[in-house]
Amino acid sequence: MNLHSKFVVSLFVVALFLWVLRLFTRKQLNSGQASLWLITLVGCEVLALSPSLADSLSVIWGNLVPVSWISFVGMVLLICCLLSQSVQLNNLQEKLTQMVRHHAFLEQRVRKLESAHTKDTTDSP
Amino acid sequence: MKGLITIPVYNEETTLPSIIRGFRSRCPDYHCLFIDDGSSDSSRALLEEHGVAYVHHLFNLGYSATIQTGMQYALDHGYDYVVFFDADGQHRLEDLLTILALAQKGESDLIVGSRYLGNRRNRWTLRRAVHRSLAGIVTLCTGERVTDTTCGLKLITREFMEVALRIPTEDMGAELITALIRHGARVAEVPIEVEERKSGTSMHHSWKVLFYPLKALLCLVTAGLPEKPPSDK
Repeated sequence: MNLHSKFVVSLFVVALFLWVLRLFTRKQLNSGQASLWLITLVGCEVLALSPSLADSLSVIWGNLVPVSWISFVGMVLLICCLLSQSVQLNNLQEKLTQMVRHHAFLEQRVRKLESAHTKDTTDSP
Repeated sequence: MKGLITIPVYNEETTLPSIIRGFRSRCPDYHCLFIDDGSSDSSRALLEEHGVAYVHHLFNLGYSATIQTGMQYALDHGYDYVVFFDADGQHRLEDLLTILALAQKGESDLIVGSRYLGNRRNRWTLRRAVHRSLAGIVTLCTGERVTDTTCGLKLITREFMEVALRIPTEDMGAELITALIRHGARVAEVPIEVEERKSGTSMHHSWKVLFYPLKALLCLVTAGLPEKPPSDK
């Protein structure tokens, strides 16, 4: 990796880092999710600045080609991320269902009370 | 025993008026609750117009959630049992009355309508094959003979409504029946006839008929797992 490539990759990672920070400050990402992404991006930045680290890590992993090692780790991270999002989505769906049900029951009670009230006011002299 | 008949409604404007008329003439002594599952047609307006008791989901939650709404309502209002009756015009009130009469005897906790009991129809279709296979698996898993797990016409007693809401079942067919039997429900099946669908589409139409068994099998695995203790959340 020459100096130019290092610079471009680092700049890209820094841009992503700033974007995550921006999403966090705008409350579009919670602190837990923002921390996870920031840690991942710091890891990417370290690898971008010292590609020899990727070489060493891939050797430790079992003599993989560094590019394959990075792809593998990236894919594992993405799968974990997608699974965790699926779990969160499921939890939110459950909460939403309960809210909609609660709303349906309340709405029916309001309708009943309103019709009882209308009946009372028409009956009263 | 105080019972509630719940009718899940989703885009059933063509069949609703006749269903409402049918209930008024044939079951005037029973409490009925229509559950509009976020219909996009005039179903809700029809329910309002006919002055029937109904609850309305803000948007479509799906059949299982609608069934759970019915059970929650029945529990909150002190009903001893709840019966589910489809609003698509396929179920007959005669069969509902048979189920209600059986419920009064108090010998069953779960009464399920079966389209296949007594070999009433011999025409084999992919859907029927899927239904019969699932019923076979439920029979194998529970040791109770079940011939139809996907029929919408079913009755559940109060004790087992509580169970069904405590173990959040996703599939209101095979999974629910398996889970309830495993929790000690006495199950009975009643042979029923279904009319041809006059309008709309089944929730198990096209590719869903192939996807449904996979989903149901996954749900059956969870139905066999021990119950999770309630969390404080």
